[in-house]
Amino acid sequence: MSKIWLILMREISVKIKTVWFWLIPAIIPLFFVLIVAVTIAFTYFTSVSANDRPIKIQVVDSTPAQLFGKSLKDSPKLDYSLTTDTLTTAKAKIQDKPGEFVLSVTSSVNNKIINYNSQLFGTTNPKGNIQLNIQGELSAIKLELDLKRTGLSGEVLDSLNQGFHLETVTISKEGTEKSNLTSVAFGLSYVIAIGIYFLSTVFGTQIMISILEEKSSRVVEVLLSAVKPYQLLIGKILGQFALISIQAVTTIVASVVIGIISLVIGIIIFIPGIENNLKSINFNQIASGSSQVTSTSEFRELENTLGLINSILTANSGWLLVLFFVYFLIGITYSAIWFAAIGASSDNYQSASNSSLSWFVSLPTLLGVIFLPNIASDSNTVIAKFLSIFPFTSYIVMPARLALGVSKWEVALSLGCSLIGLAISFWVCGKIYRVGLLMYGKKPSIAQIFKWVLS
Amino acid sequence: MLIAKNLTKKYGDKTIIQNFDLELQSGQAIGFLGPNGAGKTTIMRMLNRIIHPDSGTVTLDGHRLTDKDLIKIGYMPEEKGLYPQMRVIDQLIYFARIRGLSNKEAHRVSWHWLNKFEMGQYSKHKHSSLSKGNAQKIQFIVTVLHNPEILILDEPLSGLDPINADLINNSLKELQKEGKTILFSSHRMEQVEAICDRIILINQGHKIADGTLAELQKPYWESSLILELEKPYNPEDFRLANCELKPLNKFAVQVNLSQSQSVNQVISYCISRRIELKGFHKSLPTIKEIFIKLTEADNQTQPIPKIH
Repeated sequence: MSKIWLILMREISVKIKTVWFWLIPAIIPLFFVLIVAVTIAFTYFTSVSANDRPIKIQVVDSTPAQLFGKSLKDSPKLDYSLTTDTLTTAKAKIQDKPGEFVLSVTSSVNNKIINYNSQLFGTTNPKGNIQLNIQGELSAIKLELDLKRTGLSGEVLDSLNQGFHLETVTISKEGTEKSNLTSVAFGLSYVIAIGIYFLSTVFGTQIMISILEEKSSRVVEVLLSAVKPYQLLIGKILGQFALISIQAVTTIVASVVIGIISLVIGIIIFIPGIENNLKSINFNQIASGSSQVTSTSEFRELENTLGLINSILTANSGWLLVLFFVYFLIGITYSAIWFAAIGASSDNYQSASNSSLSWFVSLPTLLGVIFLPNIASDSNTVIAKFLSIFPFTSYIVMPARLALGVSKWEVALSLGCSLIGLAISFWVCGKIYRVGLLMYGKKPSIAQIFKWVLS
Repeated sequence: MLIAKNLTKKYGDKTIIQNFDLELQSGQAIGFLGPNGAGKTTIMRMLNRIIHPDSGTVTLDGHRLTDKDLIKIGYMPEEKGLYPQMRVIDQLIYFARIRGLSNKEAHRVSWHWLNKFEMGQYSKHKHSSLSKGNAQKIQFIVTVLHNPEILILDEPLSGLDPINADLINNSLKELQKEGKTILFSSHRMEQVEAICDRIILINQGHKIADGTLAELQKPYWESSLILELEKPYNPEDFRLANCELKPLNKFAVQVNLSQSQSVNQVISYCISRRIELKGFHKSLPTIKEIFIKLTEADNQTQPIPKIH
């Protein structure tokens, strides 16, 4: 045990002394903050400044009664004036006036349906979100016209926009009812399954790289004269697990710290400007009518979804979380021992990536990932059941099925088979690992590796 | 005492080691010689339990060698290397601790050996930044710092300049004086002759000779004689039947005797022909010559299998 502990501590001490180990958890949240900051900054600096003079827009309204031209209201940023000029004349007038625009609104009737079109002409590109502002205003006016024409109220439109949500409920033998919440539940499980696949692959790759480093630096034989191969492997797996845990905690802490700092900086720098811009953009007009209706219905949808997630978590949280964690542990252990065998039977990263053993291990796992979307349509097909029991895919497919409702015996069978598969993998990989560690030169074929296992 | 009996190791259909016996007595330094691919490294790995024999046993002081006994062995593999990005001192402490030393003791012995090899100034250097000679000295320290009773060294002097080779040679002699057992393979025969009490020759996975240098030379004692002459060598003076004459310089000639001739007969012949001798002595083959002769003879009786 003390040797495993020493190997574990060496794995940790070497990595935590590198700058990258600490930079990566900080870079991830920084990257997201940077994306958000760049987006905000871009919007902020390209939007119209409060000190700018209003942009003059000549409106050529060819619709009956020129309702658009008359309804467009001036704002601190936009100065509309309805003109009687033709479009050609209006365009000619702004030729030598950069920063001035001509807005053309036309309509046509096709099968009793009125189609509206609009164009904005100018000698330069419209600044910032001017285009969106005008578009929003025109849409609001159109909706108002439509409502008046049809005699519908906003409430009726809101009601029309509402769809049905079908909730499926399973009745157990005891008569208790359980909501299945299929789509949301699957979405949640899918994310977790992909997360397990991604993390286990990263974990295995880290183990493989560590083994390849020891092989290529030729230190492995010195080590093997003092420790057993299994001690070396267990020490490495535990070491990597500790490192991943440290990085996960560091990432969370860094995200919170960077998030708070960014928020404070954002408030100090941007809020006064945004406030002014919000006033100038005149959102009331843009968001009126259909926008308001849409936002209400989207909000309701979101509320429903969050409610469903919450009910899944509260109903099964303990049971599900434990199972997710168990499958996560199975996944990283599988990945670690097989990648260890791949590393041991290769000389360098390139040959490891292309090794026949690598394909032999990766393909079945990938099959599980490819099959995941099919589980959404039916999680109880024969192939779904098989893949959630088969050791190479169980730790990916079973978590995806879990929240959709799987019988306890199936979970027990899946766990049992996974553990048996894990034990067999330990035995097989242990053999490959022991022989491969001392082998250099020619890349072994699957047949040769098979001989190592049987020797 | 480390004893290996009937060690056999196969890889697939190929027998690498066949019924190999070895006895390492305490305090002995044994040279382990053989051409490339003879099986030296495989035997050394089996003595360290890095690989296991298909049959045969290894015992230490009368009991089967176990993992617990490995602390008594220091192994320096042919493929040398340590962690490139680790500092020298961290590396030494790590390997000392992994071989069972306490943290305090690991620090003490690491510094003892660093100072002994005058390498204290490199303690905080990364291993990758060391010169080849210094890296090999660190490798040697890693092998001996847990004070093992038996040292198994696979080509410990390869790639070393004469000064560093002497430094390690002297350390080996000191360790031998302290009673350590040393098994050491090398292609530098003169160093094997200088250090080792006993020499084992191996070819194609089996032993072809085992003994002291004198014992290995014994079969060749009567086969060759060097005559030192007062006057320049004249082939007309030497009409020795069944003898091969090989002039070494103007005043010396080597006489390779046939089985039917003795040293006495050659000397009597010189006296009878009034050839004035300044002196004469037996010409003994070097370990290198014995190595080549025995290996070639063994290859003729057991042709080397072709490896595809």
